[in-house]
Amino acid sequence: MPPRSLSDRYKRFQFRRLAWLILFVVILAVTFVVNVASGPAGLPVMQVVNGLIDPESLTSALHVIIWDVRLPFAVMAVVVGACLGLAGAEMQTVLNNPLASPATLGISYAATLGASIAIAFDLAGPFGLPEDYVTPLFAFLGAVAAMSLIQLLSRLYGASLEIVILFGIAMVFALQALVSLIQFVADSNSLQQIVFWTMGSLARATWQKILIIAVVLAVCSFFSAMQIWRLTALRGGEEYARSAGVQVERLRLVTLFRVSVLAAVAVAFTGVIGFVGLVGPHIARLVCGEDHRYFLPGSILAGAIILSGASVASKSIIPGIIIPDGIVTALVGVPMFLILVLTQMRKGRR
Amino acid sequence: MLDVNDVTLAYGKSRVLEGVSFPTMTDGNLVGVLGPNGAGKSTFLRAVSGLSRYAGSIRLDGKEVSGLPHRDRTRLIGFMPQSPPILSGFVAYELVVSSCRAARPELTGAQVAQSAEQVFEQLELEDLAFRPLSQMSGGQRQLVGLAQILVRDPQVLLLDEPSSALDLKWQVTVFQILRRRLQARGGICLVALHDLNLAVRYCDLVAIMGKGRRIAFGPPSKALTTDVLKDAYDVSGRVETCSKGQPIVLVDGAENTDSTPDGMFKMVSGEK
Repeated sequence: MPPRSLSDRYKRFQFRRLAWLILFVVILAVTFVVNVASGPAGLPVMQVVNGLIDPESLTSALHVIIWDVRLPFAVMAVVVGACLGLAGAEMQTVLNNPLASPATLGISYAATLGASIAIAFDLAGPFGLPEDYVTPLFAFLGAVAAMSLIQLLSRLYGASLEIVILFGIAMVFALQALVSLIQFVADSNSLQQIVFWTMGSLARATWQKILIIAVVLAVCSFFSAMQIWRLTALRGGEEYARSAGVQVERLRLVTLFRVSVLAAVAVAFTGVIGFVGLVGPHIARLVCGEDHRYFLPGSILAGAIILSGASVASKSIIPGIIIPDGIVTALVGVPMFLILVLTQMRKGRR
Repeated sequence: MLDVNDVTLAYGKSRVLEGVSFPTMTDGNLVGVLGPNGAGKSTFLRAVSGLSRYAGSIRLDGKEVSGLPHRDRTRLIGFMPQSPPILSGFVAYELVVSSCRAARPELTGAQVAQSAEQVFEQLELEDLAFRPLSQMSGGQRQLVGLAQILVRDPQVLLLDEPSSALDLKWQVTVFQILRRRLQARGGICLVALHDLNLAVRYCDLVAIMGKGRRIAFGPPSKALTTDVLKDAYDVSGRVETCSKGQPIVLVDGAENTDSTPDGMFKMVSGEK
C-alpha cells in the first residue's frame, strides 16, 4: 500500500476532532435531558423525552413543570454555558494565556458592581424599568463600561498584551474595592440580595432572557467564525501571526469587545458563574487542539455541558434545595481544572 | 526588484536604522544581511516586510512597501521572525496550513494542501508533521517556522536568522533549498545571519551593517574585507580560498583578545 499523503493524514486527523465535537453534542443532549428530568419532582428521562417531542401527550401539570419551569432553566444553562465557554476561549487566545477567563479583565466584577448599585440604590423605581430587568441591565452596563474603559486605555497606550493585562488587573482591584464599598453602605436586605446575586443562579431564567442571550451568542459566534483563521494564527504566536498579515492589536481589541459582550450578557442574567469560561476551553483544547475551527465550537459545547452538569448537581446535592450554580461550578471546577492541568503536564513530559 | 533608499527607523528616541541605502537587488538574488548584535539587521528586515514604520523609501517593483494594501503585502512578502514558533499544542502541519489560510485567504484548501506537501517534503518534515510543537526541539520548530513562510510562496523572503538553531547538515540544506527556490521561481531572499561562511558560500550579495548604518554591500568576496570585518565586528580576519576553491572567512581574533601568531585562539589555561 503506498504511503498516505500528508493531506490524507490531515483529513483523518480533522475527522477525529470532528468526532469529538459530535460526542460533545451527544453528551450535551444527554445532560440537557437529565437536567430537565432532575428536580424536586423527579421525572423519568423517557417521559421527559416524550414530553419534549410531543408536548400534547403531557398532562397539564407535567406540561407546566417541563415546559414552563424546567425547560427555561435547562436552556438557560446551555446558552449561558456556551457564552462563557466561547468568551473564555477567545480570551485565552487573545491574551495568549490558558489561565485567562472572562473574569481576568474584571468583566464579572464590573457586572457585580452594576448589579450591586441597582440593588443597593433600588434603581427600579426612578427609571420605571421592569423589576426583573433592572439588575441585569445595570450589570450589563457595568461590564460594558469596564470593558470600554480598558479598550479606550488600550487604544491610547497600544493594545499590547502587557498593557491590556495591566489595565485589566488594575480594573479587577478597583472594582473589587467599589463592590465592597457598596456592600458596606447597603442595608441588610440589599446586602443579602447582592450576596445572593454574586453566587450566580439559573433560577432567574425566562424565555425572553434566553432569547436575548441566544441572539448575542449567535451574533458573536458569527463574527468569531469570520476571524477563525486569524485567531488560529494568533494562537500560533504573535510574531508569526503578524507575519501572516494578522493585525494583532486590532484583532485583540475586537475580540475583547466580543468577549465582554458575551460575558456581560451571560453574567447579567444569572449572576457570577465562575470556572466555566476557564475549564470549558481547557477541555476543548485537550481534545480539539488549537485549530479554532474545532476549538471554538468545542469550547462552546464544553461550556454548555459543564453548566448543564452543574445545574443537575445543584439540584441533586441536597434534595429539595437548589444550590446556586456559581457555587457548584466553583466546587466542581477547581478539582476538574487541577486534573486537566496535571494531565496536560504529564502529557507534555512524555 | 527591491530598492532601499535612505531608510531610517527609530524606537522611541533611539534610532536603530540611520539612512540605510542599498543598490538595487534584482530577481534571483540571495542577500545575506550581516553585522554584529544590535547592528539593526532584524529591524531592517522588519522595515522591508512593512511590519515597522520607517522613513525613507523601500520599493518593491517600483511600489512603496508601506503603501501596499495589507493583503498584497502579505502575499508578496514573507517575513520569518528570529524566534522559532512558540511551544503549543499545534501539530506542525496544522500550524503551517492555518497560518497560510490566514495569510492567503484567496487560496483554496486544496492549493494550500499542495503547497504544504511540497514544503514538508523539501524540509523533510513529513515524520514530524503530526507531532505537537510542544514535543519538538528548537531546531525542529525553527524548520516549522520556515515552512510557515515558504508555504505562502511569497515573492520576497525575509528570514531572520533561519539557521540559528539548526545542526550543521540543516544549516547547509536550508541554504541549498533557498538557492533552488530562487532558481525555480525567482524572487528575492534576504537572510539575516551570523555565520559568515554560510553567507560567503551561498549568498550572491552581502549587506554588512553596523550601528544601524550600511558598512559594505556587494558580492561576499569583495564586500567582506579585512577592513570591513574589523569595522563591523571589531575582529581581525580575512577571506581566503580553500583547497576546493570555496571562499572561507578566517577570524584571527577579536581586537581586544589575545590570538596566536598562526591565527588560532590562545587556549585559556586549564582548557584541553
